[in-house]
Amino acid sequence: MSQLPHRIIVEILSRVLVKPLLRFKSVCKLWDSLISDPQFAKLQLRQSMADNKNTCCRVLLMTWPPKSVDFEESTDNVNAVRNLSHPMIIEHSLSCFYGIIGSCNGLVCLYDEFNNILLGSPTTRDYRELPKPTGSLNHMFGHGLGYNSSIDDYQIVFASKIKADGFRETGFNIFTLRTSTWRRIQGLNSVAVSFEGPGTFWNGRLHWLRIIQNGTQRVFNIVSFDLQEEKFKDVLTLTEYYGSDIFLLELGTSGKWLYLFCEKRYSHFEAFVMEVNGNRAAWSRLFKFPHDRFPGYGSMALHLTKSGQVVVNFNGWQLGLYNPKQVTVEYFDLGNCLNEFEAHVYGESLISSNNY
Amino acid sequence: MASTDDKVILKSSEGECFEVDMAVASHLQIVKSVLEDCEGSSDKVVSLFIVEAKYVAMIIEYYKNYVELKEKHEEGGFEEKLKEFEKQFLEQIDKKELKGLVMAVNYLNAPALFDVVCTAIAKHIENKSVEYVREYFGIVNDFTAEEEAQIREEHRWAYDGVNDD
Repeated sequence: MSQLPHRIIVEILSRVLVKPLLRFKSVCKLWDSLISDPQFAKLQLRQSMADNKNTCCRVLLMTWPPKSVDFEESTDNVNAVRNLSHPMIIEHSLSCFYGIIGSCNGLVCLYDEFNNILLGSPTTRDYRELPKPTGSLNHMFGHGLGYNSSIDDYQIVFASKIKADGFRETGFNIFTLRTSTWRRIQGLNSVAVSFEGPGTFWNGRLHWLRIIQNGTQRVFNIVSFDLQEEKFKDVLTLTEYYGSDIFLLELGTSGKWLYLFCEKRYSHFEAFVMEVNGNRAAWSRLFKFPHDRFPGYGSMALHLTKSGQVVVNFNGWQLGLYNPKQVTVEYFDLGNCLNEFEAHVYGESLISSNNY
Repeated sequence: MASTDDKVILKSSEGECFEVDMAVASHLQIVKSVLEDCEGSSDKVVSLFIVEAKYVAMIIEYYKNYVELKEKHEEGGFEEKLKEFEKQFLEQIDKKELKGLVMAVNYLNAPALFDVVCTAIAKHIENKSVEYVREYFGIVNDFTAEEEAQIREEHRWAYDGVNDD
């Protein structure tokens, strides 16, 4: 049988997951150069976003050093947990603090206590050190990494209350990858309202959960920042999700879905997905299960594996897979993990920060 | 019942003829454009010179079900039912035949099935070794032993969990 034309090979490979694609670089020279091509990386990303069939997610743990966990692997597979390797990470001692600014399209953005910022892919191990911002990252509250499709570029944003000259004023700092420059925008009213942590990039915007006063009631509300317009927008208010029984609420994303994870005290975990159809968005329940067999509270459901297990962050000390049907928990071996970690789900891609 | 006007005959490379409803055949862009070119002609035979009969049969089966399911589930649920059918459809096709099928579908220019077959091949090779993939696609390894060793070393973890069965 004659060989398939290259155009069809490209179509097939763009539907393959990242891990086998990295393996297939050794098939032949043509495949190696195809899989390394930035245009192919974009095509593969588009295909994986189009349908959730091809999205492969991992958990980033902000341990010392940071680790990436492939939760689709079994917990006893030694390759399921990998340390992130980069000179900036190894050089530092075990006591260094690492935080996550955000993740988007397979890229993750990390910072340390010395204001160093690293942008890259834990999958391809292709990283780029970014210039330090003028303000200190230790004073930031809301932050995130996003993709601005109108200029085909990645942008980092963080809100802080201190300007370069030490004067306290709320502003938003934006870094643009292609020009490798920071700038500051002022006068954004919404910034004054508290929202924290890494924003979830989805549908062209960064999303944060926050608590606001709605009349006499306190409610959860999702605020988003549009990278193209550089404007804040309220997405929706979740009136039914605030009360003394709500312990945790968190946003996540996978492919075309925006997730909302929720833990109800003494009761259950549940997750909802928001699907956008044209201009309409609707939440539907992804799963719900009781957690009364878990030790302690503050455990957070992070994601759902392809086999239907729930990836759970147990109080920031352990990461495990919960099987709702068999009511069993298996833990990943994280080695000597001595600090309480932040866990963040990101998608895998071939996108490289050095191509911008 | 559709009249014979709504039928078209597809002729395989071996000369085998398949009578197909226009509603089904119109999903094949090549058939559409051939018929448009000879509009008015009573002869509704389209020769698919390079496509073997077994692939013509597969493609017709897919789009026949596609059209039927779409009609039946106009109110919703079409995509789900189609996915169910696609799974069943792919199960009966030999993995080696997927390559012939993707060539045929590409030639006939049928986007929905093209996506399905490309995805099926992608899923098939995903957990396979480099050696299997070379053999499957008939690709000659043009790396020197040193080059290959180096490229494998770069992403050593990606070679884990391979199963050629």
